[in-house]
Amino acid sequence: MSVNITLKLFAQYRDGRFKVEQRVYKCGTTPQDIMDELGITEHRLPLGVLMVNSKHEKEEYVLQEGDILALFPKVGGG
Amino acid sequence: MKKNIEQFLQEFSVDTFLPILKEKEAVKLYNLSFQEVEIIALKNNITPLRYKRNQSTISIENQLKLLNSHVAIVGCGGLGGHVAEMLTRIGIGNLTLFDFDIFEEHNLNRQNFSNYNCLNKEKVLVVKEALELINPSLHVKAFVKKFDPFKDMNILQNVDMVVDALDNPKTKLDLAFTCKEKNIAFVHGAIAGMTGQFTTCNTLENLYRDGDSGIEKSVGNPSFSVTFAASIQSAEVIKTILNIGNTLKNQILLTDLVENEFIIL
Repeated sequence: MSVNITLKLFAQYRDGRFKVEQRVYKCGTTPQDIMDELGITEHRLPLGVLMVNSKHEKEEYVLQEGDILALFPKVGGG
Repeated sequence: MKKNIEQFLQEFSVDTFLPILKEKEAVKLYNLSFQEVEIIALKNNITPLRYKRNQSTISIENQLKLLNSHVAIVGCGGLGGHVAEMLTRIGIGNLTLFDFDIFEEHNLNRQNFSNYNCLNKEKVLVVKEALELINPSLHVKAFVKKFDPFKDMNILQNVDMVVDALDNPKTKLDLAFTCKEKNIAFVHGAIAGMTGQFTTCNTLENLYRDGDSGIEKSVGNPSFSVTFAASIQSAEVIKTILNIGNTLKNQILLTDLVENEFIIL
């Protein structure tokens, strides 16, 4: 069984990747799995906002068919 | 017989605007501060000339409200220095500034009031001096200290709004939390490269999972991102204090100047 997920990346996450893509994942996939796949690591590209279908979620959320995952880098400078 | 101050201000205002030299005369003649003279002027529908181009975006009533307002700016680096100048120019009457740091060479690309001559000087003291030159009716308190949101909130007792101009998520999280707990209006802003984020009167758990640094450590903070972000924060302060327009209360604004994307969550 698989799920269709729309991935939306923002700001520096797009560098060398993409803005929007649709991908197919196996059931049980989490945003953390996708970040690992994309090379978005806490050390180099720390995570800010994570939204699924415009709702704040955690990295461990289990993605469902048709979900839209949006990832924004962590912004902390002043 | 000596005129009363209202008569003095009426007589020497030009088309309902009071020039600074006459304001200065009134300060001496009636032994008042610049701020006291401006308050009396505004109550009599006379606007200090410096605020002429604020009109009619800012009404006389609201100009008086700003002059009686008190804003604390926590951090006087990139965001804080520019927010401080904008609030000073628009006419906020009382500012309290916090920063423990000195100006260093790598601040010169973006930090307001930093220049070759003030390297190694305490930021808040440099900023205070510069603000008082812009507007003598402004009252500035400057604290050379690292603000601790769990120990120092007593300093903010009479403050109408707190500006988060800090440079690290840990203290930003704590400041937002304590402001919410004490019901003090608060505006968050942060930048990294050409991106920014903003929210008003909210805690920051949805923006920061932990207190570690963000992406700014690798992409830096260019000048126009800082002034852009400081402008958004300043507008949020003015709208919140005057209770006008829409603020980012219960919303998050994410901005990307590379793509000209402005997203409200």
